[in-house]
Amino acid sequence: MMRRAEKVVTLSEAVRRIEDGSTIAIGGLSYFNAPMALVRELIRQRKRALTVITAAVTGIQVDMLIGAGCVRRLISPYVGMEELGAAPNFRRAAESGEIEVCEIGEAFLAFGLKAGAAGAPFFALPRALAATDLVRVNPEYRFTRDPFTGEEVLCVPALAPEWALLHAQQSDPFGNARHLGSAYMDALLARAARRVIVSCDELVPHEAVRAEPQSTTVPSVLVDLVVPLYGSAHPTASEPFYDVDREHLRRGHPTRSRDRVGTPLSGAQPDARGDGSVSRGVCVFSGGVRIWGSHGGGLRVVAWGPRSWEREHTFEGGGGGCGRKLKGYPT
Amino acid sequence: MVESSKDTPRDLKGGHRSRSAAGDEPYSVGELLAVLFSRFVTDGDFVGVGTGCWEVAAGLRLAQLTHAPNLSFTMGGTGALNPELEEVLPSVNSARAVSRAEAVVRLDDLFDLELKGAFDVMFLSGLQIDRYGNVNLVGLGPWSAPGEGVKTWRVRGPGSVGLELAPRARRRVAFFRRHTRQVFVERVDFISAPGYAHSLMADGSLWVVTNLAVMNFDAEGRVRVVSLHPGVTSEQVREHTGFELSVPENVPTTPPPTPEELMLLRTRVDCRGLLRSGDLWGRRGG
Repeated sequence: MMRRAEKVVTLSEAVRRIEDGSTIAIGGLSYFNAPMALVRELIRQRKRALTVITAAVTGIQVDMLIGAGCVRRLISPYVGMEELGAAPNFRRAAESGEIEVCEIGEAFLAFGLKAGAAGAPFFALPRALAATDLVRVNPEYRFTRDPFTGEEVLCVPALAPEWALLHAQQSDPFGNARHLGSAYMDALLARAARRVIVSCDELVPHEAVRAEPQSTTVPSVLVDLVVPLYGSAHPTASEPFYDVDREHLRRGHPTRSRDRVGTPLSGAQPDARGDGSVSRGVCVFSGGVRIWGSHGGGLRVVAWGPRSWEREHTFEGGGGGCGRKLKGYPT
Repeated sequence: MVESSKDTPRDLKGGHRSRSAAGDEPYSVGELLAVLFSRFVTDGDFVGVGTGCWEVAAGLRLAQLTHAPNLSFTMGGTGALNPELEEVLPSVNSARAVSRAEAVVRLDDLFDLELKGAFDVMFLSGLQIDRYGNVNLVGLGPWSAPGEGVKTWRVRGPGSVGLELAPRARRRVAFFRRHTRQVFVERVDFISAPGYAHSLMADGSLWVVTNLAVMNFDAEGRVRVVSLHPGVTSEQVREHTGFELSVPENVPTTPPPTPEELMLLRTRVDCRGLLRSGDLWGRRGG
């Protein structure tokens, strides 16, 4: 008799399936439930030219990807860190035109995803929503006539990412995921996406989800791969297991001028390759791990992590953080 | 979202203590905003609290405890309905609100309600607002179409989030924690939320609340002062506005928080005093 297939894979196996140039959606909301281990693995595997669709409010999960040069196009209505300030890599890349920002509002995202989830080609919104500059600068907002009333309507295209990367507190081996805090808009992202990877802090037995089927927030039929890894949302929160690591976000994303992103790190050295290409590395120093990237010469901090993070997250290939350990760098 | 500015008088920054109606109880700008927001909602209203709107979350809970027991609100992206929290959470998106709620309206469904116009009041903020009430949360410009070597923004902000849906609410309240010339500009660099003239629903009123004053719009759709907060002069508010602002003669003073409102706010809504300290949003120290 054939057995039901489990979907548990390692972090690197899961991310290896994502091809350069893919459209991926990243779940969680703000600094809650972001699939950070998956994000870091995307960076470690040097994924390129990704189109990233975010939740209605996003932060470090996309900021790190941008800082590491993985993103070509961003579809997001809001990138920031709430009270912790701006997302520096996003800000810089959006100002310089380094990434293409699809300038949208929440309705474009939410109803584009709903159209994608239902397999519909677009979603029609009231014409009155066109009274913003979003519609002026973004050609993806278009108009058509409502065939029933003849009135003009504002249309947004279906959003159907190839992958959704989500984080839940628990999952069983078949991908029945359970958000114990809030599911935010993860279920919508899962429905809109063609394939779904869920990272979870705890792998629970199948019997546990059968005992409480109502607690499953993203059902197994939508989930392709499960990556169990405790702490895989850090430094964002995975409530009720752990809160946001504010100190991490603050230090990785300095807002004070004296610690501005773009300042070379003491102890870090320029990329040995010297070919001007984007590269990354890990710099371990007293009390923490800094992940740096070089973009055409200047070194920039991409993210910051506590030193213990290296041990907590034993990724294959060794090394902490998202960066590869490059030859000649301090460990 | 709202940056501090050097030209804001020191005594008007976040940590400033003004005097309450009783004349002896100091309060912070955060507390003042929460109390004013509680007065902007009416019994039976349905409101959604957006990311970064701590004073709104506090104000709505205060309203439930005072004049609006039938008011309902959802907390941030969790969709926690009517959470009975005694503290202001560091993020309105924290699932800690769920454990004190009566139900969860999923974020997927909140989008539908927002589009449909189910919310009675929407509170919003941004980087800039102009005399017509247009609000910008995208960037300080001018915006240029992207291209080789083209700088698209002088300063890129976080993005429009759900501001384009603001006119779907029956009433709107735009708030700015620091009333400065950089925020109150002649013309916004980008329209994220259309101004007073663009309202889809019946009432359509738009109020503007800052650390200096309460404002609304005249028949021509231009912003005007309705009341000045205690201790604020007409000159001060004009000086900190980047366009000619109409202030009526004998402009009334905003009724300050009553001792009862302050007591409830501090003992039942904001036990940990986050609004009082101003630390939440006054990153550089209020």
